[in-house]
Amino acid sequence: MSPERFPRRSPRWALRLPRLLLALYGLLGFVFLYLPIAVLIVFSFNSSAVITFPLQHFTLSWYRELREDFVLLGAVRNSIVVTVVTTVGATLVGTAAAFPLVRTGFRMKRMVNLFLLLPIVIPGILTGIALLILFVPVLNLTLSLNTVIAGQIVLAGPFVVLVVASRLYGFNQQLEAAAMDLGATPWRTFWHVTFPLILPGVLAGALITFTLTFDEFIVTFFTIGPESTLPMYIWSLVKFGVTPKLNALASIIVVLTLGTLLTANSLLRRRAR
Amino acid sequence: MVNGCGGERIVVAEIIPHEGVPRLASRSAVVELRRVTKRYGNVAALRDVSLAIHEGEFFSLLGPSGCGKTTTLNLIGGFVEPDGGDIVIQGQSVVGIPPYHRPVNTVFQSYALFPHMTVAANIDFGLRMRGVPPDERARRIDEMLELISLPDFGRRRPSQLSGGQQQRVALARALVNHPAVLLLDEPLGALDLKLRKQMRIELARIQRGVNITFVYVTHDQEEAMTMSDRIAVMNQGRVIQVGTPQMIYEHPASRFVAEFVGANVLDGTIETVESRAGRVRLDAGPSITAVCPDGLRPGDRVSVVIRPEQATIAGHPGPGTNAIPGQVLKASYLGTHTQVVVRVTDGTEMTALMAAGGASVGTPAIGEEIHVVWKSEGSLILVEEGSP
Repeated sequence: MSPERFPRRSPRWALRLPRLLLALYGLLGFVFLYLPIAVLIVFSFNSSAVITFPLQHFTLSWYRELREDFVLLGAVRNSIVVTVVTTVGATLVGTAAAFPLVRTGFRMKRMVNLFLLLPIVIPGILTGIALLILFVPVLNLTLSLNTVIAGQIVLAGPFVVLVVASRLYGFNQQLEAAAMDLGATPWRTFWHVTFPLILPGVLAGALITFTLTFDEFIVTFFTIGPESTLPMYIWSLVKFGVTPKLNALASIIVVLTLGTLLTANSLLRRRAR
Repeated sequence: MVNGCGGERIVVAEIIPHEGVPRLASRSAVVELRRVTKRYGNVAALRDVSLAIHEGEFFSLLGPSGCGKTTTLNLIGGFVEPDGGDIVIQGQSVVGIPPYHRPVNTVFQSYALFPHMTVAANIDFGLRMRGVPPDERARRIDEMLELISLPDFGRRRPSQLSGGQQQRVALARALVNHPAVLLLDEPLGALDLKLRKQMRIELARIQRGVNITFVYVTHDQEEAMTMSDRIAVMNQGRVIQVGTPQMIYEHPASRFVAEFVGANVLDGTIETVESRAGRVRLDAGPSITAVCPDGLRPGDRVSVVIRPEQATIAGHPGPGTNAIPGQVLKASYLGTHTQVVVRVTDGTEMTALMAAGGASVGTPAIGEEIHVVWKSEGSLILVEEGSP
């Protein structure tokens, strides 16, 4: 008999081990990411005013306290106003800017492209100071939610440009030629063909803007007047020590964010079908 | 050939009334190009092109890539404006009129179906844009789906269709508007050979059924030959010859046309001219006789055109025939024919297409020394381009 051509078969457990280790590693990663948030939520239902183990009784009183905090409610209202207006504004401006960037050729296009995207990498503190100098000594504006919104559009606009432009690069322009060939004016071509096809990019841009703006702190800090947004309010709470009231607030934000993401996801899926 | 269409009904007669217009009888031009020029930067895409395309005909623009055929199509469609000359559709100049106001529809090379709409919505698009009433739209969409043999596909998305099916939907989307002219930009280019051959037949049949003028761009001479009523052969921004497929094939106007439709071309010098027969000393050596146009004199440089099916091969040519010695490069048995490629003495490659069962010598061996022979009536003398 000839010697065996293959080495001896490995035991079954040895074959499974790498998969097992990989699964464990993945699990650890998830724990690392979500443990802090889980702890945060757990303590929002804990009756003790001090955030420490062991847990005391279950309570909703921290949530009740939130409801009675008028400063907080005002900050939430301000945040919603700023975020919604910024999302609409940045999405409009960013989408409009993406078209010439992709569709036309002009001198120094690369340079313009670079400068357009620069606000993404410039440290927020620089942008904040720059905007403050522009708004107050130069333009002589009164700081208010309006200046906050202007600043936030500067911050978020480039992201919208980036996302919409990538969608436009993959856009088959012959589709627009086909629409015009079939009798659609440029305006109708845009609304019936171009816009529906870049809509996922526009929505993604809007979603990014929304999440960026809702918890933006640094630039808001420099450009805001006497009002307060939610991140500003939380910051002011932390100055006096963390209480479970803050946990309750954070828990609500986490749930709302998750809800928004899941809704957007399922909406996009339904469109794709 | 051409099966696979089995069971598919092509309903054309009911779609559009013929109004008793006999095919090709009406000579009125539906599209006219008058001395049109178009430049891109310093490159002339079209130089002084004049064309008249008749009502109801299947007209092909044939030529190699970059010859200006697609530019011509874009000019008629309104996607490009001419630098000079005039374009007339149905008796009216359309220069400066945008695509959406021209009575013209296009089948694009990539089909350009709207991916976010169903097949029915794609076909509906032109009707919707032109404000056709809803019940008529529904009726016409159904007619079109029937015409392209995809009656149950209205609710599908383009991405759920095969290439051939997408191609038909693109055709339906254009035809549903009853355009004065339908432009087709190499619509079969993306299909595989078998499907392409099927679609040629189907396209020609649909065109006859709807009786709409088709202007068809292609670089495939076989495609143009099988479908067209007339062909314009283009090269380097010029129209070289316009005529029926038979005219183009049997009487090519120039060396370029002859080579493009697959004929053999040999260079030579006129020795003698007697009535319609000219004696030509080929650069490759031997003297041959061919049909000679008027006005040629001894010493003139000419090209001799020999179509492949007129040529055959022989070991020893008989006296009185045209013959040129050469070496077999390739011999392919094609069933009905055997195709033999021969390199003749001056290095030119000649193709002979010999009918199976004819008086042939069988399939020759590669490298064999033979003669290519042909009858003098079969070959044509052309004045060489660039000479008077």
